Amino acid sequence: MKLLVVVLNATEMLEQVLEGLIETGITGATVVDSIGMGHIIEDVPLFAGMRNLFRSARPRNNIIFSVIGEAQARESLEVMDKILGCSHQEGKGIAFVLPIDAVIGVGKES
Amino acid sequence: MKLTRYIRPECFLHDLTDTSREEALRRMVHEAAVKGLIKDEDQVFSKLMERENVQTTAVENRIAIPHCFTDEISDLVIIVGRAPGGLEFDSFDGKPTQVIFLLMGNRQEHSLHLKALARIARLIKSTEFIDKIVSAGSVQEMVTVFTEEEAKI
Repeated sequence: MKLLVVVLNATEMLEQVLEGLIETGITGATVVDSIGMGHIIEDVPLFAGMRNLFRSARPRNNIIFSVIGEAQARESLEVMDKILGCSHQEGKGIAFVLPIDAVIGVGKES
Repeated sequence: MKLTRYIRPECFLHDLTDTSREEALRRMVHEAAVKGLIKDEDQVFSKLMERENVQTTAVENRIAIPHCFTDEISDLVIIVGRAPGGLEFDSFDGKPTQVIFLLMGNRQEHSLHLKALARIARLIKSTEFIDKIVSAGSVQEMVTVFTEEEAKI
């Protein structure tokens, strides 16, 4: 099993991202509202002169977690790439897959 | 998944001239029966209307996606209907419906059904796709537009 993580800066695309996951057979995921680093650090006086160094084009983002099957790893990243264009441009979001050593509470389908 | 795998060229209906949801669904189900895809068209129509009565499937942007499960289909069949004149489908945004995706799937293949709905949902976010399908001059053009636009998502 794998853990799919999508950090979505283009939060207006959340619906499309979830539709993309369903397309690859992923019907369960957790969506978390989150804040980009730059949004916090820009208030720290020490870094006031270097705000443009922090990638904070969007203050708010979403993180999507899903435990997925091995077979869904590649396809889900391909679909995320199609939706977010991660390979061609920065800013809309990133997606990655991590190995899971052990898990409980997940159905057989994952 | 690719939707084109589940839509045969004969499943594109170029000119729906009906004006209401019931008429259009009746016609599309009848076409499915004529093409030998289903036998009991009354039963399929009833199931489609049952779903419509829960909540309209005319989502927005001139699109409706009526769907139902039926044992008559082994996996999934999609029929695409073009209604350039627009028809009353009780849509969320109140606009007439011009493109209908009718899905009939086997209940055992609910995962496939769900994947297809999600992919259609992404496809119809492209206004370009909708405009091109609506202005397609023939079934062949509809097929070409569909294939080309799906390849983009």
